Amino acid sequence: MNKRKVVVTGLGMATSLGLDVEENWQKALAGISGITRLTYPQSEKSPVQAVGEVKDADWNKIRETFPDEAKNEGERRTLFALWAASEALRDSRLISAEAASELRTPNSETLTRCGVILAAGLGINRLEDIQRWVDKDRKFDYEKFGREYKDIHKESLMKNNSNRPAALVADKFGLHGYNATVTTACASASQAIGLAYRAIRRGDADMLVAGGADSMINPVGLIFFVLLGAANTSPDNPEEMCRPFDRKRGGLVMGEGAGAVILEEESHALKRGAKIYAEVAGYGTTMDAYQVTAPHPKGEGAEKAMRAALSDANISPEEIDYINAHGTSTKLNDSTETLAIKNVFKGHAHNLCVNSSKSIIGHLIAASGGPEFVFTVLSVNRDEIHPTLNLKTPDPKCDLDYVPNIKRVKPVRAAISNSFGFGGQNASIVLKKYLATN
Amino acid sequence: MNDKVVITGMGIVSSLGLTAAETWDALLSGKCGILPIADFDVSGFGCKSAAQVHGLNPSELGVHPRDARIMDKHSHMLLKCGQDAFREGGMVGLLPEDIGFFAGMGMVDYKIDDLMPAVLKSLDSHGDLNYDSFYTGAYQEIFPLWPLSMLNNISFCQIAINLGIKGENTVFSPHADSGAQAIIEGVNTILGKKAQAVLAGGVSEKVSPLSTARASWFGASSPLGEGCGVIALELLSSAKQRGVPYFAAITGYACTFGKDERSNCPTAEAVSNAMEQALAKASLKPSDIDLVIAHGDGTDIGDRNEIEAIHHTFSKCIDKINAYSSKGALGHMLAGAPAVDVILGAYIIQHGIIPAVCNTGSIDKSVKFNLVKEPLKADVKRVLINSFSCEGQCVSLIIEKIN
Repeated sequence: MNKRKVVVTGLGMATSLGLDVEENWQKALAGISGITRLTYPQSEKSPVQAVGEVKDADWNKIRETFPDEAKNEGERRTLFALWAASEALRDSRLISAEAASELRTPNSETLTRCGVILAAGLGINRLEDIQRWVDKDRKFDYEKFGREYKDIHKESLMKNNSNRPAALVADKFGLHGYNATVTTACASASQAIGLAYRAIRRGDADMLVAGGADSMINPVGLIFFVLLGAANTSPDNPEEMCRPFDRKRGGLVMGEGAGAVILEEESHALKRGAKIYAEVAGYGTTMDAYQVTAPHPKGEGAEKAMRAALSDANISPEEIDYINAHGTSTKLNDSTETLAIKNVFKGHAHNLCVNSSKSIIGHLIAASGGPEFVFTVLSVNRDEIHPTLNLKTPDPKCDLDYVPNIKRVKPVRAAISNSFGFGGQNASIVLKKYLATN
Repeated sequence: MNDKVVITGMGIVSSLGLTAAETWDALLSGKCGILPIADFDVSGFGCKSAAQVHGLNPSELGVHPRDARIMDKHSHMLLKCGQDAFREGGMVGLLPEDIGFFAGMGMVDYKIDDLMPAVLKSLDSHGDLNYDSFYTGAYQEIFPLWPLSMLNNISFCQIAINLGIKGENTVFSPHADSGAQAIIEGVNTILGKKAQAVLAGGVSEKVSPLSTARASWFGASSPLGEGCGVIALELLSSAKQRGVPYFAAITGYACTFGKDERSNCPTAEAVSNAMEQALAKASLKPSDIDLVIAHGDGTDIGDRNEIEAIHHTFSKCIDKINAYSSKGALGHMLAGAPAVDVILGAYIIQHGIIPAVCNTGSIDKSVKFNLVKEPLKADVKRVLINSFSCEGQCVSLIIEKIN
C-alpha cells in the first residue's frame, strides 16, 4: 500500500520578531534579533534580563483580534497559540481573511477529519497563590485555603490546563477530529508536529493544525533555568547573549510565542487548490535514557533520532542540505549536537548548513520546535537559510558550517529540524521539497 | 491476514491494590477505595474524600536516592506499573531502541512546602510579595533541581532510565484522553514497525490541596483517584514467536473533539463520533460490543452527554449493552484511568465476569442500557472504553478477545 503523503500548506507564528510569518522570515534572514531587555513588570532585579518577548504592540494586536478569549484566558501562551493557528489556517486559505472564525469548508463531515495537536509548557506558577494564605505564624493555612480556593487565580486552579490551547483552537475553528497535547519539555512542539504527520499518514486525519505555544516570562519562569544553571545571566547586550556554537556561549536565552503549521494529506490539499510549501517526509524520536540533567555525552539519542527520521523518510543522509539545530547556546547541547550530526552524516556533515533559530528569537521552550519548523519549511521552499547570530569565536568542538551572521542562499533539497528535551527526549523531522505526484 | 496488536503485560497501582490482580480482586469483591483525605487539613474543602494509593515504597522500586527528591508519587506509581508490565511482557531481553514508551500524565502541582521558604523570604513587613527580594536571593531558597520535579516528562524519562527504554516516545497531557492517546500511539508504533514492543498508559495526579481544589472547581462529584495503569503491547505474531503470554487485542480507536459550552466536557456528538469511528476502525458493528466501560466521571452534563451518545450509537442494540465504570470505586484517575480500564476490560474478557459499579446510588431513569449493579457473569468478547478530557477531547478504544 502506498503511504499517504503529508504536505505543509499553511504557516503561522507569534514571536519576538512579530506576528507575521513573512516579517519573521525577512528579519531572520537579515539577522535582526528579537532578543531585548526584559520589560516584565517588577522584574528589574531578575537575574535573567535578556529575553525574546512578544512586543507589547503585538500582544495588544492579538488581544484586539480575539477580544473574548483575551478576556477569559490568563495565559499568554493560549492566545499565542490561537494567533499562530489562525494565521496558519488563513495562510492555508482554510479560513477567509475577513472572518477569522469561519472555516471555508463548512462540511461537518470534513471537519471530523480535521484536528489539532499542540505542545504546551509548564504554565504559570503564581507566588501570590501561596502568599495569600500565609497566616500570621508564617504557615500555610490549609483550612482557609480550602474555604477560599475559589479566590485562587482561575488559571492557576485550572492548572493552566496544558490542553487548553489545543481545545481553544479546535473550538474556535470547529475542528472536531483528532485533538491532543504534548508535554515533553523542549521536544514538545517537534513531537506534536511529528505525531500530526504520523496521524495523517496513517489515515486518522486529513488535516491537522500542529505546533506549540509557550511563555515562561513570569517570576517563577524567569528563575526556572537559573536554578538549573542553564540560563544566561550575564549583563551583556541582550541581542548578543544567545551565541549557539560559539566558544563563549553562556547558556540559553528564553523566548516566548508560538509556531503553528497546517499539515495536510496531499490529495486533500490538491483538491482544494492549496499552495504547498514542502513535504513532511519523516519523523523520529528517541530517548537518551542516560541522565535527566544532561544530554548523553556523545549525543547518542540525538544521533539516533536523526537516523530514525531519515529512515522513516526513506532518504539518504547525502540528500539533506540543511539542519535547523536545537542549538540552545548551552555548553553541553551545542557540542554534543555537533558530534551527533557528524556521526550521522560522516563526510557529508561539512557540506551541510546548520543554524540555530534560538540565536534570533531565543528558546521558546515547549514551543521552540514550532517557529523553528516554520523557518525550516521556508528554507526548503525558498532555498535561503537564515544565519546563526553572534557566532564570532569558533569552538574547536563545534566545527560545522553554522551559517555565521550572514544568511546563505543555496538549494535545499531536504532538511532536518531537531529538538531535544530536558530529560533526554529527542525529536527530528525531515522536510523535503514538494514534487507533485505524477 | 492482518496481524493484531496484543496486550502482553499489565500493571495497575490503585487505591485498591498495588498490582493489576489485587485491584481486580478487590473490585470483584465490591470494595471501594474512596476514603477521607488525611494528608492535609481538608475541613474547608467541598470534597473531603479521595481514592489514595498507600504503601508504595520508592526504595523497593530501586529509586536512586539522588533522584528521590525530584520524584513524587506520580513518578513512583508510573515506575511500579512500568516495571510490572515490562516484566510480564518479557521485554527484558529486547534492544532498548526497539522499545517504545508513551504515557498520559497530568500537569505537576508544586508542593506548597517547596516554594514556601522563597515566598516567606520575599514578603515585606506588610506581608506582601516584594519581587526585588525574590529575584535577589529569596528564589535561591528553592531546591536547584525543583524545576525538574515540575516537568511531567522528567518522571517519564526517569522511568525510561530505570527500565532502559530508548525508542519512540512521547508524553500527552493532562486529562483522561491523554492516557488513551498514549495507547493509540503505542498501537500505531507497533503497527508501523517503529518498535517491537511498547509500554503505554498513564498516571493520575497526586491528591494535594491544589488538585483537590481543582476537582472541586470542575464540580466533579466523583472524588479524585490516585492511580496508574501501564500495558505492554506487541504484535500477536511476535508475542507467539517469543513465547510471551498475551491477553486481549486492541483493534479500534478514535479521537475527536467537541466542547459542551455548559461545562467544557465533550458533547454527545463528539462522544458518538469517537465510538462510531472506533467501531469502523475495528470493522465492527455496534451490536458486536458486549460492554462499554464508560468514562462516567460523575459530572452532571458529562454523564448525560455520554448516556445520550451511547443511546445514539447503540440505538439498535441498546438493551443488550452492558456498561461499567471504575470511577465509583477507584475515583477519578484522569490520565491514569484509560489504561486501568483497558486492563480491567482484559480481565473481564478473560474471566467472563463484570464487577459491579460502585456507588451508583439512584440510576438516571432515562438510562436504557444495563449498568452493572451486581457482579455479572457474561461472555464478553469485545469492550469499548471511553476517556474524556475536561476541555472537550474524547477518545474511544476497543479491545477484543483473541480466539
